[in-house]
Amino acid sequence: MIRTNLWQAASIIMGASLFVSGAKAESISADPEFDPQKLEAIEAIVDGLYEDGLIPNYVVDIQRRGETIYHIERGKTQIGSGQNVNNQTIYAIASMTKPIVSTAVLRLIQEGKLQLDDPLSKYLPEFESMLVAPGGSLSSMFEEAATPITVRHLLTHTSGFTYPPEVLGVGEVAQQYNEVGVLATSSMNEFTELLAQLPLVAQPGETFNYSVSVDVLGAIIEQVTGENLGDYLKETIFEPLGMTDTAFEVLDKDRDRFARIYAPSTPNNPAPFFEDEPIQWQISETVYFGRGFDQMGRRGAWDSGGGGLYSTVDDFQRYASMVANFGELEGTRVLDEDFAKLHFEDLMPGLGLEAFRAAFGEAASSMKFGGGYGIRMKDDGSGSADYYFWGGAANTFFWVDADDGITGTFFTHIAPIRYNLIDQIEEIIDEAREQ
Amino acid sequence: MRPSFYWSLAILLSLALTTCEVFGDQYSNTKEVRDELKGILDPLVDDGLLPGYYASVYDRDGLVIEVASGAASELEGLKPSSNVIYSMMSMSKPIVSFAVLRLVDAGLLRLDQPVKEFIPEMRQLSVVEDGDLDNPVVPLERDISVRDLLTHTAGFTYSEDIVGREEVAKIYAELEIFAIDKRFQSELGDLSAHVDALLQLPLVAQPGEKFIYSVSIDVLGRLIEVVTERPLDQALRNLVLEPLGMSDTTFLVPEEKYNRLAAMYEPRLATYPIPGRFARYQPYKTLPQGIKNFAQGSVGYFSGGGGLASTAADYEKFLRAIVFGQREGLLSDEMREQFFRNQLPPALGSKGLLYNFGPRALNTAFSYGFGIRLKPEGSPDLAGDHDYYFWAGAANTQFWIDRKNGRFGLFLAQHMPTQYDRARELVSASRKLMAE
Repeated sequence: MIRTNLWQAASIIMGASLFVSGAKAESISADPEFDPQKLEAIEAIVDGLYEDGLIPNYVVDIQRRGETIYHIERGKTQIGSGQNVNNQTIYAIASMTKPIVSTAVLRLIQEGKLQLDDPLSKYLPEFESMLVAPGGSLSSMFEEAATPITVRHLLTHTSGFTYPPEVLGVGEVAQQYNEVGVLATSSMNEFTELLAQLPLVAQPGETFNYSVSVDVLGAIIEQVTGENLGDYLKETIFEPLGMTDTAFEVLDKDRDRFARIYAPSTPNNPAPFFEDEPIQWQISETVYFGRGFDQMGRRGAWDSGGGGLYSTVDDFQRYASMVANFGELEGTRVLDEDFAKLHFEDLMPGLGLEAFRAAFGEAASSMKFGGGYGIRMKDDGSGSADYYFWGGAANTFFWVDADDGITGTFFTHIAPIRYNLIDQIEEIIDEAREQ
Repeated sequence: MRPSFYWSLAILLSLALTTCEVFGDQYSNTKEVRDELKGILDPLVDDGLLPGYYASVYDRDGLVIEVASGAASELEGLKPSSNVIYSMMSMSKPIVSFAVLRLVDAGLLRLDQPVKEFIPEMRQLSVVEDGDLDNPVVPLERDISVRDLLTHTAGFTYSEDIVGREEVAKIYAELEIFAIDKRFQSELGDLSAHVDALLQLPLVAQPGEKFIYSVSIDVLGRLIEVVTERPLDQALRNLVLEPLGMSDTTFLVPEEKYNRLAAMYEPRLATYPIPGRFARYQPYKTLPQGIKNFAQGSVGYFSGGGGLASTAADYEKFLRAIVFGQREGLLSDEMREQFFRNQLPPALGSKGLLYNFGPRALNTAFSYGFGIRLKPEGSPDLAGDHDYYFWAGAANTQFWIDRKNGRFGLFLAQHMPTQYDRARELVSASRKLMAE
């Protein structure tokens, strides 16, 4: 008898500990419009990556107007220890900062403090006359910029600016960004001063080049409002929407909720190993753009509108819901409808396939770009949008369904981006809805 | 009498050749297994992860299955085939190990012989534990033996740029000791100069203490030079490559073969969210201008640890010699058998390779030049617990040996670093082959 009880107790304890190591929470709303069994295909995809030891954790959250359609989470903020991840886990959202800054720009346009076609030099005169090194090649014949860089160009990455090579920057000019350290500058002012001295890699308005453009938009916001970017975003977007965990830094009191960043393991940074761990990890904690965990989450010398924010799924869903709902969330209006629609409107309709080819390769045919948002076109050739989206270099993604405003997020922490699952998850949701 | 004897021999030979050509005939389900191999590997190309691949399965009689997809060099439209030349990187190591064992067989070396008897500068070595320069410098507890070098247990490491993880590995990197990107031209000098520089630095562990993936096979390359009194390329030709007919296996690919040389690729890491399908690779950027792969142009130093380029057709010959020992006299059966025994110190058990390769390398032992995948909970020292034998190169080349079933195979691509390890899946698919 005693023996049996001991075994029972042991198996209960073991069962409990297994549950913790595999920790998985799931909630599917009773929304009759979606077939819950079909939605489970989402779990199969992310579990496949997790159980192969390729991602440290995941949070997938699908909502419509604040109501959960599907949610699943698994894993911890740090492999082998740390908290279970959930909607309050803090992630480095990197380039998902860009859509938020773009929203702030649209708001300033609405308030008449900016115009979409204002030249950049109106606010930052150092960009008055720019040179172009076509293709970023320093051995090519430099050209003078044929047209001024405008706010519209900055919103759509068609300014002619680029990024350093590790962010797929173009040509030798991208290397110059690193050599002069444009992103390692000690003030916003120094950043724009230095950037203005480097050539553009394309004529303004002609080609999509993923770039520091949104950092420059941040500089314009500071110039126009007289506030620093973080404070302005807090006042106009984060506080009104109740995004209490979104900022350019992670406070010490919140660091236990802050997920560490991983990368595929290499022999000199081998994956962690734990006895009795069912998952064979293939990833190791990594140094993210030169910063280890202890340096992550510390406020930089200036607020990077291109990639500096930290946020949570809960917070980001509030932001995305506001945008999906054309500027309003739970009675709080951040933007008028007409201006909110600019997020999703092709702001450079003259651009053809070739303008996107270098940046997106084969995917160029399905890409357009709106006010800070990538527009994924439907594959059926109808010319209509499937969803609006963006993601961050540490593998966080969000999207807004073009048909019914469903907002989705898929967050994990592995750099650089490896698993863009929006297409697959979107398709599953569409199939589940067709019931 | 005599002519008819020759005649019948000729018939026998031609029969043998015929059976070889009609490969896969002895299995009833070759097509299904071939489809399964394609099912494992084709997605790598279809999903844009690799530009192309070549893979094959062999048995005692020859080629059983051959599959390929995509391009070996996109720019030139070179298709992957058994004659395409690939940088084998760490798959050079088994070849160099084989050469060393031949010298042992010939009585020119002993496995437990101190290497300092051939390379006197080894005497100056010391150890800083964990390669941490804050630790005291201590003398070696025993000499480094030939066996230690064969099994990465000498206490050397690799440059930080390759896989070294200790503080000392940073010094390897600063001094460019056995740096991959210096293979074309090395300011340090030739192989002996690299070894000289290496021997100025402390070991990161006592000999026999740990498996640390390392330059030890490069040191063996130098040992071969000293013992044979020939440069390593020539010594390998004499000891392994010529006897086995591996005429496409070299440190430097001659110009007339450039049209058969695969191009090297590296990951194209998106840092923004490209939707759908897109190429995840791009040409390897750090090669000198006009060079599409290592082993092209010039050689700075002969790297026994990673410098050889070869083809599937050549590497098949090499693996065949290890698995079946067909060429009499090349290696004694006794010595050949050592390739299928765990050679790591008993204290390392089946976890020795964890140090470098993480949890995926659990249940793994090591022989001479390659790994032994054990069955779950298997013992390294029981042949019956060995699941299969395998190794891989840093540019995504792999081989596996399923000794029990008398089969082996290759999976070749050119992508630095290796990202797509499919050995387990390939072995398991090959095991579905059913004899007629």
